[in-house]
Amino acid sequence: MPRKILIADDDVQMVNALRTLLENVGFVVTVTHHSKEVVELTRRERPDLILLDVLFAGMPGPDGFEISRKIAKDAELRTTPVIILSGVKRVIASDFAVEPDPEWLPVAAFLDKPVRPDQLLKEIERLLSDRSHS
Amino acid sequence: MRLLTKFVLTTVAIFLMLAVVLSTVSTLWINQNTIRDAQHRVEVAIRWAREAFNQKNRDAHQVLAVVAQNELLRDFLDNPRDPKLTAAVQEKFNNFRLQHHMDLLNIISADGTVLLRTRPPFNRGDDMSDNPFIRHALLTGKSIEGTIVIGRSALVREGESLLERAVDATGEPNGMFTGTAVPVMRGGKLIGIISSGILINGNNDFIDTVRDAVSYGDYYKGRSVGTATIFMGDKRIATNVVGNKAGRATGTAAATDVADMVLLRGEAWSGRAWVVDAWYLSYYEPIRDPDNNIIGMLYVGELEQKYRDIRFKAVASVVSVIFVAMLFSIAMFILIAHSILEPVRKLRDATARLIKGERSARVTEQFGGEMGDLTRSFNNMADDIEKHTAEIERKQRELGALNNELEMTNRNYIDMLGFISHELKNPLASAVLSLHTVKDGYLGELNDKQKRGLESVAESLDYFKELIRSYLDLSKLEKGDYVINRRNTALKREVIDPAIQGLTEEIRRQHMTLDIGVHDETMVDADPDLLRIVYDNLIGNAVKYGREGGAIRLREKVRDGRRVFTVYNEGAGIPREKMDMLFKKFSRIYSQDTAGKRGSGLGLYACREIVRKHGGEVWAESEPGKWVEFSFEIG
Repeated sequence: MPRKILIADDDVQMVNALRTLLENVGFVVTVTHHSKEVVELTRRERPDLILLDVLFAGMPGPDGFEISRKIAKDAELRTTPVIILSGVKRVIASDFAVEPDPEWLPVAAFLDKPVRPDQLLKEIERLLSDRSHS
Repeated sequence: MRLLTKFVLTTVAIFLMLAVVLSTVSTLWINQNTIRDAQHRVEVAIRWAREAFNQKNRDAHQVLAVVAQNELLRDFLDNPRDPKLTAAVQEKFNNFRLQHHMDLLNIISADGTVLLRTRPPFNRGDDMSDNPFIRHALLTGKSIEGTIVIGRSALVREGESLLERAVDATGEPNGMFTGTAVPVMRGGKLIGIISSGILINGNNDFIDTVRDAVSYGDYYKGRSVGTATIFMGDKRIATNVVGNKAGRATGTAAATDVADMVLLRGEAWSGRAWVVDAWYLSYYEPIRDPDNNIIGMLYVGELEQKYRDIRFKAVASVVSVIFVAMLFSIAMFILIAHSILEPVRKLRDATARLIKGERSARVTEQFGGEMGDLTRSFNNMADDIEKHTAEIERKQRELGALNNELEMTNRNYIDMLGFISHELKNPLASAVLSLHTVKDGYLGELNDKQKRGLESVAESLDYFKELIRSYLDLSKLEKGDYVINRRNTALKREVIDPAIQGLTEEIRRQHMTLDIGVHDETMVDADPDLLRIVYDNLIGNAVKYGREGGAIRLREKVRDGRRVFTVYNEGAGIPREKMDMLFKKFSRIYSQDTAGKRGSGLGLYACREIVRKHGGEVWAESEPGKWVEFSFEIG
């Protein structure tokens, strides 16, 4: 059974690039460009993994950090691993370390854009195999 | 001290000094003058006294010269034994004697025998040729006048009353007479002598006449100003000096030193003398008899007290005049100084106000002279200052506005830089992802040509990525509000390891060796994110410009007690002449060895900005063609 990945990013080109790569290596990909749909989509689609952007331009809604915290608190969804994929690391004022944190940033991994395909796939594989073992 | 006080004190001191000097000089002058004056007066007085003394004799002499021509006298001298003639002469000449206040009036024969005494008890018949006057007149046939002393027996012969007077006055049985002897001549032949005398002993009338010639009987504070005394030997025989026992001080003796000088040595004595009970400015001179023997002294004195008082009054009035004048001058000076200093004070106040920033401070009062010039200059200066200050403030405001504008422009530029870079990041990220998806064969195998083509695209995108990263760093650094967040940072784990993460593949590809000589436990007080930019850039440069197969070494060292961190690589290095521009914004060091390798020109600039924000410095050393080492220390 193909594994399902949810991509949430306001950048259409990025989403397309990711989708091309992931579908080609055999994932089923669901996408959204709107941050407020992410939790709802997760509940409905039950993806095996979520690739999440931090800053969603234009429309109102929660940012990637908030979404990750919501998911982490949700009893049904909390086991779904989240990879933050963002260029935000160098943009936001660096007065704190942007690293996964159980309280503040309850995500499985934090990847900096731009990311290389092999790097991303390696991370996804690691998280998915962790999950299937558990 | 205030200027006025200083002025006044100085002036008072000078004036007082002047006053003291003037007073001293005038006092000395007055002293000398009054003393000289007094001395002079005494010398004059003694002359007057002598004149007065001698005048008596001269008067007697003239009278006797006339009497000597008297026929009755001549008749009597021709017939001295004629009782009628004797009685007539006796009566006439006795009246004459009394009329002229003579004590004696004797008629003597040509052989020196007393033919007739006009004074009771009219003794006669004795020889008088041993009397100096008579002897002289007999010998020379000429008149003589002078003073003589005669002894007791001679006194008795003249009359007991005279002896009594002499003894009463002085306790001495001798008498001092001043008198005259005039020869009576007929046909060139001396036929007799007529002789008169005044007994000086106890003769108040006589001495008062002498004294009156000196001072006219003035009294000063109960004492006679002028005094005269006649001494017989050293005994006062006639004086108007009042003795201790409220009578005339006859019978007392002169001071020994005076007696010695005048009586023994025959010289005059002048000076201060203590006479009975007061100081007198005195003059003593000897009295001589016709044989030139010193027989006594004539003294005159002026009461010193009077001169002293005069002198004191003179000094007092001069000194008080001086002091009053000085006080008046000081008062005047203070007033003048006050009025001179008034503009100075106004100037001072105005200056103080001006300094405090009250720009309208002026001296409003009008003054004349130099002070007026000064205050006008001050006002002009203040006008200028006010004008210039206003001008400066206007310029400052303009500059401030301009500066704000510039800052805004710069801020806009930086914001724009950050915005654009950020906006470029997203498409770049997807491009990189897509490129590698294709290149790495996820979308199907590629042939070698296709791969090489995509490799070159990948290189371009790497450069693109580096540029964007540099611009983002720069925009963050140049925002003034950027705060550095220093904390205790594990240098290797938090800074160096993440920095080399993205470079390991390139290092391997270039066969370089990376030697990290920084200990795991090394801690620095720094902003880890900023410090990572530094290491990103320095290691990135080392990889980019380092020799293929060369070594890259990261070290921590201690130099002069400070920790220094270095990044060293083997390679082309940096020509000495390019060193200076190494850390400048947008500077790129081109050389043959680095041809084809492009940087943003911002990396080292960012390094220096970050290190300096930490209070440190970054520098580079190189041996061109061999190695380069970047070092930095943070404060």
